[in-house]
Amino acid sequence: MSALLNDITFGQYYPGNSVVHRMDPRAKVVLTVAAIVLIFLARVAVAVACTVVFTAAAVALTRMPVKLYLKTLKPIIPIIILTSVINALYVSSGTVVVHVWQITITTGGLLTALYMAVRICLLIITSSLLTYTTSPTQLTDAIERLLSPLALLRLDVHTLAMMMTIALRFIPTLIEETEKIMAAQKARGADLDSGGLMRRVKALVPVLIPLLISSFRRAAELADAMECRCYHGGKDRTRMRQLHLSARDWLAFAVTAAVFGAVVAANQMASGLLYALFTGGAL
Amino acid sequence: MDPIIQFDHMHFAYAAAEDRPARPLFEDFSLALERGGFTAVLGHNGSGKSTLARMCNGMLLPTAGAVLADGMNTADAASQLAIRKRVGLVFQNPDNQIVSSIVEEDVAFGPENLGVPPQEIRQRVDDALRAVDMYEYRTHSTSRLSGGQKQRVAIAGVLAMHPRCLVLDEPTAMLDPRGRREVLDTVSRLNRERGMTVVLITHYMEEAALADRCVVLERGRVLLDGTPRQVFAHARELEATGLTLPVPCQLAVRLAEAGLALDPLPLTEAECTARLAEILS
Ligand SMILES: Nc1ncnc2c1ncn2[C@@H]1O[C@H](COP(=O)(O)OP(=O)(O)OP(=O)(O)O)[C@@H](O)[C@H]1O
Ligand SMILES: [Mg+2]
Repeated sequence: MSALLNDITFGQYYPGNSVVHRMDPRAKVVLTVAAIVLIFLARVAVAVACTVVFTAAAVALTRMPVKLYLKTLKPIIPIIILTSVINALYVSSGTVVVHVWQITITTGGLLTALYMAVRICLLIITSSLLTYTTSPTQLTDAIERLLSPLALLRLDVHTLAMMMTIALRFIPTLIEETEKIMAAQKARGADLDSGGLMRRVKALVPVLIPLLISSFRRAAELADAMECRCYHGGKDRTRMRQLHLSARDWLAFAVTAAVFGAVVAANQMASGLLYALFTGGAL
Repeated sequence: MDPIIQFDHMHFAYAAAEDRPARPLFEDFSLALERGGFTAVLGHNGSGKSTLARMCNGMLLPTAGAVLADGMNTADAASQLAIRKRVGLVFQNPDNQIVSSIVEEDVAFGPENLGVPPQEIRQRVDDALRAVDMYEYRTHSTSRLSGGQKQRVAIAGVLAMHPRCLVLDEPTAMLDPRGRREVLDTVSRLNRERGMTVVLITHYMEEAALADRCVVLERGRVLLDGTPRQVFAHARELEATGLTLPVPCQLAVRLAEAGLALDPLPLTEAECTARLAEILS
């Protein structure tokens, strides 16, 4: 297995048999969107804690090594650090912790920075959770069915979903091929990793052109193979996997709704408390 | 003879391009492939093997004459789907014929297109995967399989449509020796145990030795046609078309030149050593 391929964990699917794996993919897509909204909604400590526990519980239910989730966080560490630093520097509320020259760091700033970091991590973990436990076909299937009302607007949802399936299927193939071409060009003395930006971009041309040409050839062959397997668009097509919402999906909806309620209530209570403090102080 | 695929005085030419005129590839070509048989089609590069394969299920249509697949004319647009369902095509590059990222979902692609009910698709997919010995891999990712495994998944994908005939266009050309063995074993077993009609297109004569009929093409004509033993006996003609005889046959030819004829002609190493041991003792 190629080195590049091994590094890419985000968007991969890991077959398994956990409750989360067996959930209806439509429910998973909807719940992932809900969880993302939830993560951004949480403003106060209790609410953020709720989203952390919620995500941790979901991760535990997938019965997959936590290491896999942490691995997806690795490439975005710089982003987390950057946003945290900016938040810590720019937000000023609460008491002052450090005050050196022009720089003031307040408790409010630190808290915002922390929440922001937690939010970004949860966001990445939640979306990896979806792709880790849902095969690309199931995912596109779910999206196809969730978007099916758009067919009324003359949008060809089936073709869109098929394009997604094929794109996901060919990502590993194309990565592998890119590596092969790069190795071949290097063996002929091409220097792909040094020089200025322009030089490096120019050096990539002999990699991209063969890749493009071979992709066209692949596309033509795949189209033939699909035609030989009786593909004729979405008309009269059936699916092996019937989607139906089962008890565990409804339970997941209920739990998410409850967490949603908790987060909103925590936010409300906190602002109510602040209001009381302020007005109390004024009196 | 009850032919499943019949080329009947068929003519074919690719459309002319800038760099070459439309030169007819097949002229008045006739050939019948028997139901339940295992036919190997041999030929050097450019002899028209792939073109022939694509004509079997109407991917390419003859310019004159007819091609009948399971009794249906491939030029008849109304029976197009029925023909593709009955004559399954497997191509050379396994990477470019797998549609889905997961093994079982890829195998389901054909029956899904045919509108088979979900329960039955499940059944067909499991059967097809068992037939090619890939059942344990059903939930695996297709991108992490070996070449031989990918090609067997491609075969399962075609089998799940319940075809009457399997046409394989150089299915082993991109595989290592082990993958080649796996695919050939699978194909011979399908023919032997399930009575599946197999048309194996190849330019390896060792592979053709597994078949019960061997057709050698040269520039759109049938050069030789018979059992592998009959065909392989024409060492000179075969070598003139650029095909390489299997090593045991080459040895037999040399021995014959030296005055020791091995009869019948040995096709495999095992056969050859057995014959030689017999003679020497
Ligand atoms: N799409 C095409 N357009 C024009 N000419 C073609 C096309 N495909 C093949 N040919 C030509 O037709 C002839 C037969 O090609 P075909 O692919 O059937 O041969 P083949 O026996 O399969 O060869 P190979 O062993 O290389 O796969 C060749 O001379 C080839 O150049
Ligand atoms: Mg060919």
